[in-house]
Amino acid sequence: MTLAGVSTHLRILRDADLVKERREGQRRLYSLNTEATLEIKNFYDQMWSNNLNSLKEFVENKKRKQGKRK
Amino acid sequence: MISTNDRAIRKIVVIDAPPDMVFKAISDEKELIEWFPDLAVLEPRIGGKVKFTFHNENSENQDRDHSPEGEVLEFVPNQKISYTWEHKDIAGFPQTIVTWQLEQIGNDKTKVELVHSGFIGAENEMYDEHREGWNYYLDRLIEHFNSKLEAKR
Repeated sequence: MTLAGVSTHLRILRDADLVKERREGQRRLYSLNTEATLEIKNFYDQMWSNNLNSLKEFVENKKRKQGKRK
Repeated sequence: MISTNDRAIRKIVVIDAPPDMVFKAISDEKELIEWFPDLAVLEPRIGGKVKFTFHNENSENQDRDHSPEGEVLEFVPNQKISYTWEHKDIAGFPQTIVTWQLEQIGNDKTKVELVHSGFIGAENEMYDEHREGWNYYLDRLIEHFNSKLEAKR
């Protein structure tokens, strides 16, 4: 792998927030971002809360409509 | 009851409808898009393909649609469905698993238990995987510089 290849790899990891970048003069220092997975988990926690409410609403409305037809 | 640990999200909701109606809503492609993703693929068998696409509401960012995908691990009509959930476009996204378990309670009600597991944190697998990756690239980098230095001599 070339140096440019390493840079590209690091940039992808940084854009995905899996590493943190810090500049020191001409150098860029990279470290692992251990909070990334936690952020992903928090995102899904919120998403599932919202969507379980949507699921409940959807199914209960559907049942109500079917009940009326009977 | 599905076993969990602190790396899993666990939610329970009680729906006033029988399990077969709930199961259809969480497994049928046409019903899924009524309450969940904008586009849904869910092949109803073990090993079947799963792909949900969520359009970004911010129209400037249409290229940033959110499309988790995976494979069906368990499919028990009216009781249980489980599938893997990954993001191939996000480097290092952990391999997670979504499990739905339904249980009829009382007359015509369903207890829905959702577990989204596999959010492996920094302490173990995900970290180790990346650490191996880092060692590999760092070795390559050192090699690269050593060969440059040798060339100069």
